[in-house]
Amino acid sequence: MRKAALVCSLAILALSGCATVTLKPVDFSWSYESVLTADSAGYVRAEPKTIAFNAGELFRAEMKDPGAAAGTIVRIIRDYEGYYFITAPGFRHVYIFTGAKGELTLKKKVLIAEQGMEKPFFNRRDLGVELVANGQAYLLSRKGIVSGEKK
Amino acid sequence: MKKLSGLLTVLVLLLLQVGGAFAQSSDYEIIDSFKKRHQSLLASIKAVQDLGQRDLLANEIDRLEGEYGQHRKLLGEGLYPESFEASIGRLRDQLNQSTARLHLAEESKNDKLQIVEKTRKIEAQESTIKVISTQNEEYRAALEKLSRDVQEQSARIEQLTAENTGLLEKIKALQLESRKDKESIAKLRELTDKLYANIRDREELIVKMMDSLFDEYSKADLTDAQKKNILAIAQKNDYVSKIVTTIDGNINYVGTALLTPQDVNVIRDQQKRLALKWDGIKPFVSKLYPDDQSRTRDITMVDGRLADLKSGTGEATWRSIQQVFTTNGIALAPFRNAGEFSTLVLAYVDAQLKEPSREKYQVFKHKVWDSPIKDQWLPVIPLEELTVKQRADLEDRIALWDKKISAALWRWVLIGGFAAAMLALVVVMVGRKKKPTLPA
Repeated sequence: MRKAALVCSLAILALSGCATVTLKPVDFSWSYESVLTADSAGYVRAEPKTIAFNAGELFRAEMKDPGAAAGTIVRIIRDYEGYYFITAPGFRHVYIFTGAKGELTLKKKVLIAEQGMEKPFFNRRDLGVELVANGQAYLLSRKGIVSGEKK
Repeated sequence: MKKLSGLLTVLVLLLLQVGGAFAQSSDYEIIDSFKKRHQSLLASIKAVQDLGQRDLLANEIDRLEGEYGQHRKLLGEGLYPESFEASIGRLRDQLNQSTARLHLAEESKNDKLQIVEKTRKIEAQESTIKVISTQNEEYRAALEKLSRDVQEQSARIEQLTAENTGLLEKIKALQLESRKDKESIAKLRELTDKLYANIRDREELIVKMMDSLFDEYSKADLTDAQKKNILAIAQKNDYVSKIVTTIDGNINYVGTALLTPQDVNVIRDQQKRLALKWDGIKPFVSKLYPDDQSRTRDITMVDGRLADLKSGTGEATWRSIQQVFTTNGIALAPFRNAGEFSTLVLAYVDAQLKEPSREKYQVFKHKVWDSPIKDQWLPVIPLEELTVKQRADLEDRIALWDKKISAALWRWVLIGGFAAAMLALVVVMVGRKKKPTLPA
């Protein structure tokens, strides 16, 4: 009993003396994607709020027209490591971002279909993020396509 | 309308279900479609209108559970904090609640139907009560009028009965005097006419009373209590006694009256009418008696009185015929039936044949036989009473009397003619003897 009390006291002292605390492992993944509709300014948000950002730059990149975002559905999912996978109908790519300090930073732009995707959607899978588009399923990671072929 | 919308909801659900294939589906879409179907199904279950729809929805829950069961884990996350099982359970709980509501509604509907039915019955009963109340009021008024009428008729009958008693006494006193003169007979006739008029009036009143009570009693819609009221009126006014008194009055009248042939016809008609009326009201009269003994006694008494009236009318007829003979100085012994009449008239004519008297024949033939006996009285005597043979015998015998009278007349004519001829001869002969002595 005395030994247990001593160990606890030492542990408390050790923790209070640390400058940073790291919690791991962490699963950042979302169970399923968010399907958000961009407003006239290109902002996507949803209730309950998952993530909100301006998707205008993505539409500029894909369609050379940030205004094309208005009223368009944007699909987002987050993987186990916390990367954001973003795409939308008509996009040719899936965009993979990291998020920190109020920013989403593009890590990877994965080409899926040159002619653009019809009705793309994401699913969380054990080995990564599944993308289904144009009748084809792809397994994605932060590095790109893990399986499935691009067309 | 509600049923239709419920059915449409079920159809929509079935259509949604068609879209529930998950070959290559978005988890988001699976969760979203489940939520939509769940929400729609829940709304349908809440709005279910009958047990048929309820069964369809129960099947739909099973189907939903079956289709989405493979996504149990995903849906557990998508529906958090509710699990897939809890979500399906919520549908089933709601279905149970709705089923209970339907049962309650069904009971309530049955109750309502019963209430409507009972209300309708009560309204019908109220309407019937109103009609019966009106009828009762009318009946009460009719009964009061009937009671008043019967009392008035009863009082008038009593009055006529008293008058008749006085008239009868006078008639009997006059008859006791045995005066056969024309003046006495005329007086007797006047009194009996008055008596007869009174009797007819009373009889009319009695028949009226019988009709009014019997007609009222015979109405099909009268209740037992109402019939008892009418019986009470009849009993109170001594109904049967008045009938008996009236028939007795007629019997007394025909026992004393001198009738004309027209009177006989009228009396016979009335007698038949009274007998028919009596036969008609016998069932009603029977109900006036509390016991069989008095009922049988009184009904037999009235039957007997009617028979007496019939025989009394016959006797009065023969008595009146005899009066014709008496009035014309033809003395016949009293006869009370056709046989006695025939025998006595034949005996009288036979007696006259022995000593034919033209004067008596003339009286008999012209003032008695030809009229009124042959042309007025004999037609009112039924052939069953005075047979054709009896009539022929009388005619033959009178014809014989006529021949005798005619023969006597011719004899006197011949004697007269002979005497006249002889006288003429004597005159001629005397005239011839005187002629030679005359100077040339």
